Amino acid sequence: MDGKTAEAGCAARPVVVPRLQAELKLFRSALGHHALVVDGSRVYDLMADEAAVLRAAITPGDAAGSTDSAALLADLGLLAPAARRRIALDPIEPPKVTAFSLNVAQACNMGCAYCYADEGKFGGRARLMPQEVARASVDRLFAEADADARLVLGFMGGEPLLARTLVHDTARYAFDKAQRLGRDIGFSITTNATLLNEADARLFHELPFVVTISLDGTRDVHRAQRPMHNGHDSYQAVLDALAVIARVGRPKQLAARATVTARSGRLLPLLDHMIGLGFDDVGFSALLVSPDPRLAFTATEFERHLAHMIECGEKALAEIKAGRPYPFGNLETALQEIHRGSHRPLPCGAGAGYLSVNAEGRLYACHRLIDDPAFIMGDIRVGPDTQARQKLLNRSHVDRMEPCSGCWARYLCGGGCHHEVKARGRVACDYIRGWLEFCLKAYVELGTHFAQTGSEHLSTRDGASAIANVPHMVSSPR
Amino acid sequence: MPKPRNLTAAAYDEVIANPPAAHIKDSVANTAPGLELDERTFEKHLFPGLVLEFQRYDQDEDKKRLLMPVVRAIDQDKTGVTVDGAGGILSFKVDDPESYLFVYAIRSLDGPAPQIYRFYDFRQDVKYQREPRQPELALDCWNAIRNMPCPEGGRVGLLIGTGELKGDKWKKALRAFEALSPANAVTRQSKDKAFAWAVVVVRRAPLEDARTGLIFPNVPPGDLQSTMCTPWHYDFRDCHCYYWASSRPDMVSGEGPEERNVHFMRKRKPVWEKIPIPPEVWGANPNFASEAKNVAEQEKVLWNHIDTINDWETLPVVLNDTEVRSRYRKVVEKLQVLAGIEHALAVEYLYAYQSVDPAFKLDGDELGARARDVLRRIAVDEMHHFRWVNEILQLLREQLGPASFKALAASGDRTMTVIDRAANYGPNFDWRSFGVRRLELDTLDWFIRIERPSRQERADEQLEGLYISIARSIREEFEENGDDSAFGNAVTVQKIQSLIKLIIEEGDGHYRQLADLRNRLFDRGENVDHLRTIKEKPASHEIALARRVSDTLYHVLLYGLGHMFMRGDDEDGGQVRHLVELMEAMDALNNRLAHLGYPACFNAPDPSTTQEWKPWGEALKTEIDSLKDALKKTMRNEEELRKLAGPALDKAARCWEPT
Repeated sequence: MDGKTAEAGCAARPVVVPRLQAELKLFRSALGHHALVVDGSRVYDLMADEAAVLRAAITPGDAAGSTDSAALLADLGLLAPAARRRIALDPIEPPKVTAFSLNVAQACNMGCAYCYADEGKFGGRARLMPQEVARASVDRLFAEADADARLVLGFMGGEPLLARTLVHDTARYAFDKAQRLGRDIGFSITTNATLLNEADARLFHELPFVVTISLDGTRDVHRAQRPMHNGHDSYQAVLDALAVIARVGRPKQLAARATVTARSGRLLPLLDHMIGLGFDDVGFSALLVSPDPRLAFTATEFERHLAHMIECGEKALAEIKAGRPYPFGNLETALQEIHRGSHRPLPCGAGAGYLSVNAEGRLYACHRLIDDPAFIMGDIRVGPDTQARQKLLNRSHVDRMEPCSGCWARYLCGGGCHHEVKARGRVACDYIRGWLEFCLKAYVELGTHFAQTGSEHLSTRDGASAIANVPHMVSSPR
Repeated sequence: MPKPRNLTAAAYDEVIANPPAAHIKDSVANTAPGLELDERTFEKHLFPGLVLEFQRYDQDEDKKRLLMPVVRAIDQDKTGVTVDGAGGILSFKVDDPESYLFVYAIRSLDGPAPQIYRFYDFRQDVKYQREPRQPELALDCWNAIRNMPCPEGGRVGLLIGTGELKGDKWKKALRAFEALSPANAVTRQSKDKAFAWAVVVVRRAPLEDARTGLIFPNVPPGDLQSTMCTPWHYDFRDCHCYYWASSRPDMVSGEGPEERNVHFMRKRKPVWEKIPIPPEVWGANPNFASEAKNVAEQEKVLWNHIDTINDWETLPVVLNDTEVRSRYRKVVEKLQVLAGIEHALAVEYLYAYQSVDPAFKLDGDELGARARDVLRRIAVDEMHHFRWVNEILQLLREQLGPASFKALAASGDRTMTVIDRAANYGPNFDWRSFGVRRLELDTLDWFIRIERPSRQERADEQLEGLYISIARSIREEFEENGDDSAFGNAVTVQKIQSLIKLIIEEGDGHYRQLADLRNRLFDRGENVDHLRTIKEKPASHEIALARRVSDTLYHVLLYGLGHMFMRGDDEDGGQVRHLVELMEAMDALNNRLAHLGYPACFNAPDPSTTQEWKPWGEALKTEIDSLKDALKKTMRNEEELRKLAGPALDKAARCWEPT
């Protein structure tokens, strides 16, 4: 073939999108083919031929696409210049703080083997927060936040109700202050509920509280994983607390948080059980950091965990489609995030809008990093340390992390909990990707289900009901 | 482009077409009959083979059938229902309610939670809810169908029948409907010779065409908006802040000082009618009986719904809270204002001139005669200005095509020329009201003020400044656009500029003359020795009649001028001559009246009569004849007046003669 013929016969240069597999995730559902465009967390339906074209364009390493894919990639914004990206590596300025958690009791009445907080002591001595520190923390929160921001004040531990008087006093103090100043404030408390009494229930009912009870599942599982120092039945104590709450009145939200260990087994029975107890939301948290390493998940053990979670997810989907409430929090949160297209370079608000206060009034990035000098973020007396926060946020940017920068799930995941990553590294990535892929599938199937049936979802959470009005009418010309 | 699924995907996909506010999913909640579309249309066409209707004019008359939807059209072949035996599509007339077929009940047959709606009874029969209740609005039936959970393509059964379904027929119909089930979903109808009822099983139409993405392919083109009536005009007129704010401001500013914080939906009027709207009138709420008076005032000053429908295109663009008008429009509006002002000034000067005693002397100086002379000449100049301004308006009118003219005319019926007299002199002169006043010091000071040359930095403050600004606008427009200027080609622009120049030059002289007069008349303080006496005793019948004649002559003068302005016959020497003769005759009569102590009133014609030229002209002719008759029968005691009034009326009558 001579040069001219070669020139005439050559195809046009293929389109190359660097690291396309980090920017595009193809997945399937019962409805067909779909794509997640990572930047912006945008979800699309694909025709079969479009999916084939994109699949061919994604190859390991640098992608070598084809001219067929150019138009499609352009439509999806994958050929867009860096300036159009929603998440870039620009330095992150710490936003104004709007949420504090107060470690009012760095002590606990239970001896959970897996407790990351050393029963609240965080490696130090047991102590309660003085009232002046608590009130000063409230004052600091009000001062730091914008006047129209919604404030959140959380009570953590250890077991916060060990400092019951402080919790009541501080909550009332903060609420009254908010009323006087015309500010909006909400409260949260994470408790083992073993000490919860009527006065506590009344406080949680009267003020806008989100109450999270640590409950690990059925009686046997819970008692085994969460023994009380005094030998009492911790599960019964939770039931008693629920009865009190039912009598006095429910808080704004009553959630259950179950710690799942490598020994927990099937999750669906636990989920069914806890939902049956009447919680507004039930969520699982896989244990990664534990004083007893046997309880924490390894990478291979996550495979089983994923299967268990998907089993729960499938149950939740079936219930939702049947029009019955099934508040499986992990799924609901994911659906909500996918529907909104949440995309963020950080895993959470730690060090950003959220800080945690230890008993002495020092500020830390979050409640899991209390007393960790690497995550100290200031002091309530002088205020948050902007520089420290900036450093944390910028070094934690998911595009700077490995293996995150090459992962399609990074803007939905955010890089993983600071505490867990510091202690264990990133061992759960496959699980996170697997779970998110399931949730993406669930999202598109649910959306179509709602569109076709026109039924309303009766979940108490916004996740699925948010997509009840999935944009089935949003349709661009094809 | 792949179909977006979630919010960020939808936001990313920018369709180059209508703005987001035009997307159906963004349509506002009150979508029946709706601002962008009539949402009821979807449900009207939800069941292929049937076209339903949810609201109709006769719903008030027959409460029993008040709420049930009707079948507007049925495709007998598609549905398998025989109504008239002819097959094909059968439509029912809107104005023949007796022929309607009603939808008595409906149920979904597929989907997870089948529902039944019995419109005849309006009970809902589903597992997990609701109390039986009577609907309050016909739209409840629409909402029931709207919310009925049925997948696209899912089956639905409807019980339709005539209005007189009762007794055995009704029982059979109901039995057939209640027998419907997913396993037993068959269309059936009454076996009567004349159609009575049918249970129709149809499949719910898709919301979107899977291939094209077209929304609701079942709805015929145009139908989504055909029943919108004029909702956007009504809402545009009625809604206030927080709703239309971005497209329809409540409050805007114009350029002139009188147009700060004015109501955007005000009736745009000449400046002498632009009295600021008081807050209680602005915000008057027709829902409260106590505000009836303010509401009545509001209706006079703000656009009503009809105005909005007819004239919405004339609403100006608003940028940065300020109404933006073209140079052309600004110049036209200023000229229209000036025409009214020149007219008003002419009359004020005439009255003031007639108020001076021609025999008054001061230190041997025939000051009375001098003052009268000055004022009369200025009055004549103002009359010239009145005419020239209208000639300019007529020249500008000729630059427009018919469509543009409508957009700029003061009303649909009038031309741009103005014969009305200003009721006040606007904010430039502190809203001073027009008024006929004798030549006292205060009046003379007012004349001096209005004729004062403009200071450079506040050019628009004085009359001269207004003309200068007009000349400047025209010049700038012509410099930018040459013969394509909005004000016409070079010849037209030259004509206009010459007239304006003339007006300005004449105005210069007025100020100096008036200032000199002031010195002479009032050097020794305020006095009224130079004024004719006004008698307090009521005027006799003859004098009253003469005053009526004076007013009629004035009206005829205006009519003739207006007619001339509209025709554009500025070269019509014959007509002008007639009018000048009439003016002089009126002047002579007014002089006599003033001498007698009963000066002419200069009552302006009733605006309601001047709206239509022909009828006004006819009315004036009738009035002339009537006055002539009256003169013959009376005026025995006022021979001088009769000698002046009679010929003046003859001159007036000649204004209708061809020239």
